[in-house]
Amino acid sequence: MLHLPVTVFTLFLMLLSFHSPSAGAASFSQREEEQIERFQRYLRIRTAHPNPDYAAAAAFLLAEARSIGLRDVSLEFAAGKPLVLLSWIGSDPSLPSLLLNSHMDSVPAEPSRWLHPPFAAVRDAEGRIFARGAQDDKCIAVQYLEAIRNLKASGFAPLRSIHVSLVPDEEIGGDDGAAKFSASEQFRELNVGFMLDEGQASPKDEFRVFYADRSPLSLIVTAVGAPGHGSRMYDGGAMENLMDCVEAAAKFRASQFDQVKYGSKANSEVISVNPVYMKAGTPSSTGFVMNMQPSEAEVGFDLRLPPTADIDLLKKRIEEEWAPSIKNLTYKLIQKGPIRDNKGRPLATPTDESNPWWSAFKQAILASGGKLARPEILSSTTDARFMRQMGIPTLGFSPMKNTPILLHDHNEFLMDSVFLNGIKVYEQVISALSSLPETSLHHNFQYLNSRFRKARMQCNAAAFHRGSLPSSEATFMHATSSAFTSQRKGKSFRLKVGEERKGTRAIAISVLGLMAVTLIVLPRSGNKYGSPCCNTCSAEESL
Amino acid sequence: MAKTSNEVIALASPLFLLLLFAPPLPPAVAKGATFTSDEADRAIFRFQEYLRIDTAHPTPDYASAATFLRAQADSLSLRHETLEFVPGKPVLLLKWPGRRPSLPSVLLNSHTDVVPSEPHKWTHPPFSAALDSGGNIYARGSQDMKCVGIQYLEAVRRLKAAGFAPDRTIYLSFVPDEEIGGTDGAGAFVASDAFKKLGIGVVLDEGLASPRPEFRVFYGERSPWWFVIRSRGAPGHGAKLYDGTAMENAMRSVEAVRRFRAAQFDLVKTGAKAEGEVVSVNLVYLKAGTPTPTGFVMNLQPSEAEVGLDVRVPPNADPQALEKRIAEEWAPSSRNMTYEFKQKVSVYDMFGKPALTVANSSNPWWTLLEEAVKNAGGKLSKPEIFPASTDARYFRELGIPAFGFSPMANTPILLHDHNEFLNKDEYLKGITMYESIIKAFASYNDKDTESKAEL
Repeated sequence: MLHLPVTVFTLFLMLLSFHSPSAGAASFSQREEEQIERFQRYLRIRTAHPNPDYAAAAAFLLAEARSIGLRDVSLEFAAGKPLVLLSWIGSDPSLPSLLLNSHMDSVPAEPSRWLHPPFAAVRDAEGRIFARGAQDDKCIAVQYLEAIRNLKASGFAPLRSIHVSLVPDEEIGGDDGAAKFSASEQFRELNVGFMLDEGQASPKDEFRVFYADRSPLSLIVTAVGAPGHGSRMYDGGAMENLMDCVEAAAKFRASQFDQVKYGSKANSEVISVNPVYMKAGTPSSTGFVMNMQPSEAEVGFDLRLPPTADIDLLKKRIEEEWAPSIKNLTYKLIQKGPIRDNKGRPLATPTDESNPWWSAFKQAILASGGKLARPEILSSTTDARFMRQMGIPTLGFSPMKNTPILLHDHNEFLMDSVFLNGIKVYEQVISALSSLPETSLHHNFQYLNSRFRKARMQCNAAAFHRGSLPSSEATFMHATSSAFTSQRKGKSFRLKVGEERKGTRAIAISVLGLMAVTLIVLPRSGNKYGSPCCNTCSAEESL
Repeated sequence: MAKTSNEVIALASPLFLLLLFAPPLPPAVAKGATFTSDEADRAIFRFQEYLRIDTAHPTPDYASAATFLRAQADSLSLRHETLEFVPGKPVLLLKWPGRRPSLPSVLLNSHTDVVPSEPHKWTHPPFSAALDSGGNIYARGSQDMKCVGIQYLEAVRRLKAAGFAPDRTIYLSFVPDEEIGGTDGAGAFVASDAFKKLGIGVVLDEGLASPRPEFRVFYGERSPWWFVIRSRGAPGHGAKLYDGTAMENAMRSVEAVRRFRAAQFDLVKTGAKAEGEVVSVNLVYLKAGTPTPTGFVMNLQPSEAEVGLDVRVPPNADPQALEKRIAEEWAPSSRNMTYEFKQKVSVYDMFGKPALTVANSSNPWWTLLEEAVKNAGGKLSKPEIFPASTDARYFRELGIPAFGFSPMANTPILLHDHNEFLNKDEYLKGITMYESIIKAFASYNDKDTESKAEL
């Protein structure tokens, strides 16, 4: 009988240990559970390439938008690939707006390699929600909307308009998605001043933020040479020349990778060159002909350039060392997007006090109780490049801390508590950025910016259509000159300042001063300025 | 005193014999002097006829070739037999019975198939057998090796016309598929009972054109080792730098292969060794990457890469050492690599010795060959190892002496190349070479060999 209390106690302890928490370590409110459930519903839509169910994704997003009370429009720049655009009009819609971007599509997944089916959005006992897209990047889409829902419910009213864009095809380069969108009239009308796009998970207890991507290029090198019998050794064959090329590129790769290994540079700060395919040989019914040396051989590389890399230097290296014509090697260097922005500057958003958007963003993160890591360059590529190309400051940010980096991997997951915390972070960020007063920006520059932006957009529209190179140059020059003309003639222009009337005189002086500077500086950088968008699509590199 | 008719005959016979067996005039005296212009034209015409049959892979018209050759055999009153070890791939066997059939016989082998050609790269169509003003006959197969096949027949024709009667039985074999390894041709033939019954004592097979005045002759060949090395590695995003990718792995192997190749090639370049005496290594294919309808996936590093190699091993090389090198340096399992042979021909014959035919005076066949060529007004270069493969290896594998010989002197080497041609005078001269050789071989009587089943 003495043992009975012990037994009962032991049983009680055992019961405790076997009790599975209903959902994660913490318990969430009804509202939070609903938010998680909406996240899971979005995750369950099969948006993986090669056949992403865009229709279902768009339908889900539009339904959510309507339940929040957002204005919605569904654009289609390519058949079957909708682009959902949601808007919360601010109290001063004339101000440059905030754009929150996310892509609807996902990369494929191999179910046999997953603990839980990749489109089941299973939430395990620890609160991890497993799905393809849980990190990349369906989380942010739902978080944007939930944050907006909460802000609306709290009575918040933004100064600037807030737009949410859900785009297709990011995972395959964004040509029919963000690329066309950014070049469109509808985008122009949004008058975007700042954009947030996807970032990446952080295994540490701090959020990561990205101010630039690496630009992707494809390099294809082809070798030709005399064909020959398999038994005959001779010099100058296609295979031999191609292997020289691959070896040269491998040496460069090693030199870049060594810097990362040594710790002197981050992964995203070096140029990566990775061979992705090799092709040579005469096919036969059983595979390849084994006694013939082919007269042609080919290798393909995936190249990524950090924003400050000198592409001309790279081209020189390719021409002289990797694919010299003297060895019967030819190459195609294919730019898969912009390398520089429309002013010829690196595709990077300033993350210092010179950029008020950055300051506001940083403050908002801190206000949400989060820590921000040092801003980084993203090793791969996102849609942000299309907007950065237009001079629109853009940050890559996904509020995932204490999370292993699992994009594109098996068992991609996001912890429910991290997801929920991310919504709170966005509430802070969105409210801060959408409330940013115009005076905190260089409003004169902002105005000039918007005049030039129109010109840039016209140029970019043509450039992105990759065809009318001369006419885009002409368009740009025309637009630029008309902008100049109107300033020189001192035509009256309205300062697009909010309600700010104080210090008008000071403003006028600084405007004139800025004009003077602009007139002096800009024409000097004539060449670079004259062909900014043409930087990004040189004819010689077209394929 | 008047001589009796017997006496006359007795006196005259040596003279008659002398005249009968007088060596032919050396060709330097007059080109084609041993051919009347009519004979020459007809011999050339028959060559062109044979050349015009499209026996190119992948769909060689073996049936038409066999029909043509059977007609030739008939015109020579040679018995013929068509053996089809594989349907659609006939081996044609012609027989000129010898007076002493118990002696090991002579085999004149040639293949009927030819490699493909790219017509747009030829000045004359590859199956036209066009004869240009310089006397060159252009056709795929004009060097490799329809010339030899027809020259055998033409030599037999001339020997028969001259009244020659061989002691040893002479066989002519026309086989398919040599250009694709000969498994269904010479391979199947040599492995058959029909072949065993022939009691072959010596074989002539194809050689190579010689740009010099001397003919080339081959006493062995390099064994083909065709294999694939495969590398594995973690797949990854195209932007990601990491170690141990399949491509990196493959390239490390390629580097090792290339260094070995360069060392071997240098031996040839410096003249230290002949081409057939080194191990040759050549890359023949590369395969890596994920194909798409328009090309390849460009942002994914593949988890596998394949490199195909054509290696040729000379008979006196050390095959074990080479295989060790392949296993340890070119495709080591320590780097997650594997290799697989598509074809691996042994350097040894069935007796475990390097598959070579002795090419010096200790081999009577060699002496006969050398002298026969000399008697016909030709000259042989130093015997060589054939740098590639021919059907001769099937015979040597059984220990049967075989010589690779194609009588083409002062001729650029154009086998498998565009605008392959043979000059008509070289062709005719070659016929006379074979006349001399066949006669020497088929008349060879060595008392010691009579009792031997195979020499």
